[in-house]
Amino acid sequence: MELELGLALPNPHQPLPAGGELVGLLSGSVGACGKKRVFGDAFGAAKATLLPLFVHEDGDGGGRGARDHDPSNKKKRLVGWPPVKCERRRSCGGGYVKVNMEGVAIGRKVDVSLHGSYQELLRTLERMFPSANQQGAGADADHAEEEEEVASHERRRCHPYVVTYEDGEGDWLLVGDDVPWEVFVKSVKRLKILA
Amino acid sequence: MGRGGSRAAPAAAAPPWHVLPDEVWEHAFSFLPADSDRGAAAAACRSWLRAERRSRRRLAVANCYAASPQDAVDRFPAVRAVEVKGKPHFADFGLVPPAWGAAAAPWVAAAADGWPLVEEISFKRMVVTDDCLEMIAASFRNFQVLRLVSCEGFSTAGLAAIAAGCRNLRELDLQENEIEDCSIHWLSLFPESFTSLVTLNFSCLEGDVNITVLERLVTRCRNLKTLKLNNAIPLDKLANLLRKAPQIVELGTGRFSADYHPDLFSKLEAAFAGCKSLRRLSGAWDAVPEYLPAFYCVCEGLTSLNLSYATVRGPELIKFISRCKNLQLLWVMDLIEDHGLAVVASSCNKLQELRVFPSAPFDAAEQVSLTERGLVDVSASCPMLESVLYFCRRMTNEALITIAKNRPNFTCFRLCIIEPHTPDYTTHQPLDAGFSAIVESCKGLRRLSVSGLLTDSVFKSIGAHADRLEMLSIAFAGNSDLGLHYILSGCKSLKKLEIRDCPFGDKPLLANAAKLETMRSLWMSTCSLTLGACRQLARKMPRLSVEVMNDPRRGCPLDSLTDESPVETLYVYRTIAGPRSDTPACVQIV
Repeated sequence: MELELGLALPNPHQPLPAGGELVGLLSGSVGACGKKRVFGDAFGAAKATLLPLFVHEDGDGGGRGARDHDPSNKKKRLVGWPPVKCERRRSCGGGYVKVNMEGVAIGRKVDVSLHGSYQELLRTLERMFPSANQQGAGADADHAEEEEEVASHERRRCHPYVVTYEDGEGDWLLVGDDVPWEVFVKSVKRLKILA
Repeated sequence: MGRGGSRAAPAAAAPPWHVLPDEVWEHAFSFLPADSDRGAAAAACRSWLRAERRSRRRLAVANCYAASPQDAVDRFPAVRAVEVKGKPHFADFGLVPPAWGAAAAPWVAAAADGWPLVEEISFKRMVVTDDCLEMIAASFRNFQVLRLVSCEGFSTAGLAAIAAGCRNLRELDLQENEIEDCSIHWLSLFPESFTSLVTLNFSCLEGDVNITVLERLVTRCRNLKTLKLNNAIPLDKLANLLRKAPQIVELGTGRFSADYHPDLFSKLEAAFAGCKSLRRLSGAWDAVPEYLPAFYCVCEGLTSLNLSYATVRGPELIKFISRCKNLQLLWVMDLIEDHGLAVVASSCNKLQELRVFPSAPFDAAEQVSLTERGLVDVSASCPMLESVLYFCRRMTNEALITIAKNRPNFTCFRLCIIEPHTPDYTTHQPLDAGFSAIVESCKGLRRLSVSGLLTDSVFKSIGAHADRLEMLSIAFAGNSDLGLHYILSGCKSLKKLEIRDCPFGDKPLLANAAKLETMRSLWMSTCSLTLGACRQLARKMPRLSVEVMNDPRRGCPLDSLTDESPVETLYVYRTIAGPRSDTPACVQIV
């Protein structure tokens, strides 16, 4: 049983932003912008880092806490640096890929390489594309919040989406643990969420 | 706004031109090419103000929030061409939350209502929806030019509306947009009777296009001068298109990739040989070196070559570029390396603009031999070089000083040393001396980006010497508040200042608050600002909009946070429109 790291101070008043990309880059510390703490963001504050836009590539915190940058890890990535446009990042293997969800007209972009694990990526995707039941819950704030706190545990466990990706050969595969994360990052070209 | 028509001449010796009717002034002003000249004329007196604004045909709104669309329509009723820019420049690099704003819809709506004769619309870094495009197609009878640069929010459905509805369309120019592919064959919606296209640029489109339809379109648009293709056009189809449009002046080849076949090579070569007017070439994204000689016959005539997405390298690349003796603009990847740039330096003496992009920006291990050497060589041998964007991994003060001495005519100098805080690699000193030499020598410098290890002292030089500087970009530089103070208290012509990851705090911001109203905008992210200073700034300067973008972990609303709370991102701009009402939750106007 993996301990889920606290991601943020709870904040029920902020609707889900469309700022998925920026938010996803903060090592999962998205909670304040997340709706109703549905994704289990209510487990205490993230440690305030001096430079919030650094992302450590040592994978999901996974209960070990946000530790200092280990020199044996890959070089840490800065947001928006070097200053090259998104298109260039994609063609240079920067990890920026398009994400589409079935039934949603406008797609989004996510920088896969700024995540440390499938868990992190799926969390970001869930925030970018909140599912219908979560959106509907917006109306009745207090009541819904209670219910969701109870339900959040379960919901976190079974992500409501099926996420697929297109690899280098143009095949569509299920995103999952059978492919090591590093291999996935290098081969993923696009993501598609099936509702 | 004053009476229309001429005024009665006062009894004494008023100059005779004082009684000229407005129409004469309007005609006179039509010869002023630059907006700034028209602005100056408008400031001379009330009657000139009236005549100028009523006759202004082209309007450029550099910040969509500086004025409301209605203000613009009311003030300039005769506008036929409008350009509006939205998000801050750093949005290109992912530093601005996607929901930040810059919706094009209010501008399209106001234009549809107040400028029915509009012929040209350009949007840059704005959110343009399919609805916007449909409204454009439906509202302007003589619509001719649509230019969308770095925009998002629309799909091929919107393009379909444009194709179907804009009977007089001359230019459809889509540059680096995020376009959703709805698998709508939008190209097919240009009617068979439609022949007016002069520019068609869909290079950023990711989906397929119907090539037969494209061929027919290209064949019947005899005035087509610019054609920029996307990824979906195979090489042999490119050859066919060129044969149908030999009058082409600007070509974007798209991928330009295929296994080598002598037949295909000959076909391409012949097709290019027919393009006697070709002057600007781009694309070649996955170019296979063996195909580059197919371009040889057009090299002599090329003035502009954009290979910035082309991963081709080696002797074929260099041979090709060296034949382009009349190049004025060259954009290329660092795969050209120093020795390639040395060849450019000796072959392309008319070069005015050079951009060198990183092929592996995130991979320090990738060894590409592109250093300060390449830039020094080009600056030494290309006397007309005035604009540079250069990504590299090492630099020296000596190189910069040499470059500054060679090229006092720089107007734009952007150097990006990829690793932050990189010092002069021979002396291990900051690069202060080098950049100071640039600003002291290049008196006409309008745009500057600095990088590498830099102390406050370089900002002292910039503040003191860069009198014509309009845009300055700073990252990972400086040691204290003084750095920012030097800039804001100097740099007489500064319009845009963007700063990230520098130890600049509240004091210089507040001390130079008045300066901010003379500028278009200021961006500061990951610096040392507090919310209290932002509040103070907003109180002190009511004509500035002070936007704070939260670190999402802090929580909202801002009102509950103390003055001491750190501010992650500040974006300040002057505006006559008051605070905007379309901010997302993570942005607050203090």
